[in-house]
Amino acid sequence: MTAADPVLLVDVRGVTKTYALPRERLFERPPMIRAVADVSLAVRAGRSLGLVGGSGSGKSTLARLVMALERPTCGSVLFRGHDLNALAPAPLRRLRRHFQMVFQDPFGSLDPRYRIGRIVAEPLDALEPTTPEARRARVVESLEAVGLKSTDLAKYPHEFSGGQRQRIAIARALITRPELIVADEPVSALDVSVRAQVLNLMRDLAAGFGVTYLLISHDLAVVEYVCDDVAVMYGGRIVESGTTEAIFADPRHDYTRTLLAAVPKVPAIAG
Amino acid sequence: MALLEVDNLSVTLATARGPARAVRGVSFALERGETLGIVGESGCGKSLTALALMGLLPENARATGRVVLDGIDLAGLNEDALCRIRGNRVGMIFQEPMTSLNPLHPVGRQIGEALATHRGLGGAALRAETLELLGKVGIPEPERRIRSYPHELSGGQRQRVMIAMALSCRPEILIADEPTTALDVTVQKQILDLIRDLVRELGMALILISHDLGVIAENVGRIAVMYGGTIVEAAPTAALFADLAHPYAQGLFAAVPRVGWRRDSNARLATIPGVVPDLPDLPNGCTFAERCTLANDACRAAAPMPIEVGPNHSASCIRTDAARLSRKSA
Repeated sequence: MTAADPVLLVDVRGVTKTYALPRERLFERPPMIRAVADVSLAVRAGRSLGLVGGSGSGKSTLARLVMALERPTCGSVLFRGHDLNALAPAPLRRLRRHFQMVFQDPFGSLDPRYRIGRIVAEPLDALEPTTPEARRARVVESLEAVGLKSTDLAKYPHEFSGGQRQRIAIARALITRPELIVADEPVSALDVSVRAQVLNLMRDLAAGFGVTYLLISHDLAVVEYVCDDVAVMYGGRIVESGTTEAIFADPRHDYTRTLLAAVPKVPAIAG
Repeated sequence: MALLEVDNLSVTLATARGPARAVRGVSFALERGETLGIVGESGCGKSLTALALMGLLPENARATGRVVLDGIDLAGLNEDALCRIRGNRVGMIFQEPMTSLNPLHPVGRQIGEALATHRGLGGAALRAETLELLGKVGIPEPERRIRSYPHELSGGQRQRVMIAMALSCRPEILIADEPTTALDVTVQKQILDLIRDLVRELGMALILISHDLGVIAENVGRIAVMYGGTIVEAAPTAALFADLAHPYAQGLFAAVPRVGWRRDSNARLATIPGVVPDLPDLPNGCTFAERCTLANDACRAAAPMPIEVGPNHSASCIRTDAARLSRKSA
């Protein structure tokens, strides 16, 4: 960490989220599951954070809490000092320009009936009225930042491959020039050769646009490639967190060790 | 003679856009007890190859070539004869243990099905054998679990049940198609360890199909890399990593992020230009030519034949000399 403390983007304070499961008996309360249990977490500008853990560990729920797509059962989520769950809808919508999301499924997350231009412009349209020229310029800028062409504006999602669709989803997140992008398994649906392109793009955008990521992934190598810090979740709690180097070189928690030991090792290739 | 010989296997799919040559002249041999990994990206033909081996291709597919199991050409067999081999001499594990199991039947009954069909077991002997199989694949409390329905089991346990079914008739070959893709890494390791132990213990040959290079590298002795329906390179595992000869295999292997790798070098991941083309769009020559930086007119003119580039190591590329040179200078 540098001497001048970087800006605190996300401040999750003692957040718990419980869900009701389907009722099992008519006259009993439905069973509850605690997806996230008393989690505190900070994301600072320029320090991308990777959230790793098994399925059901609560990492996706935590991502949705940070995006204010879910309300915490207790605790609070602050973005740049604003309590997301205390804001009225209008100011919350204005604040959303600073934090955007990229989802896992590049097929389900783009509306098949809309052209790319409209899909990418959507976050911008939700924020402020712009002139058509300014709007188009922003869309083109965003598409070019992810390596797509301005001619792609008029196409529909089905005309693109999985990797290109994920670029479109990233372009949509970028268009409001956010400080934070929450990415939930952004490359796990992609083939190896395409995944490398998207991962390189994510790193370029961090360097070029000052984007910080909250990256949710089950793939430790992906997290290591993109993130400066890592938090390991298990059973709804963060069991270990620290810099990527420290966690990967010297894991302290038993679960982190198990996780790291379980990753199949790809031998180095001779060059 | 090899246990399994696949000779010039091709599969053509009838698609809305016309016939697509999904598998193109795949040949390989598998000895008793040998472990072979098939690795490649989606659409490379690895799963169709496995299905073709078993005569389980979808309705819109047509296969040519020879698949010879222990001297028997499977292509010449009718469905009844194939059924006697399927599950009996060759066992299979599929990717999705949720959909591969019948949700309406207890798992014990599903494991017992193959035992009754192929080994004629019934009554107490059937139950005893089923319990033993459940224990062998590491399911706790087999007496209780034999009555469980698939939805009552976790993903890892369902995959263990699938393995028990595949092993029920002590097959000579086990084909595992993405057996751990839907599972967490910690559960994945348990399942792969189980498969490896069982393969050793029972002396089975293994064909492991995966898109995950790490899964393949840790579990098989020999690797075949597929792209565009063909095996582009095949070699013993260590030799392949030591001396990649095909430009696609080189690109694929360099594009994988490795744990503990970035921080040392801060290097970028290598990428392969372009995207995997749709099957009907694949060219007739070398299927990788469109994305290959070394491709010339000869590459586009004809599909390359496999050439020996080392002991037991072949690559289907006419430019391996240049490819190996560029790798060394990179």
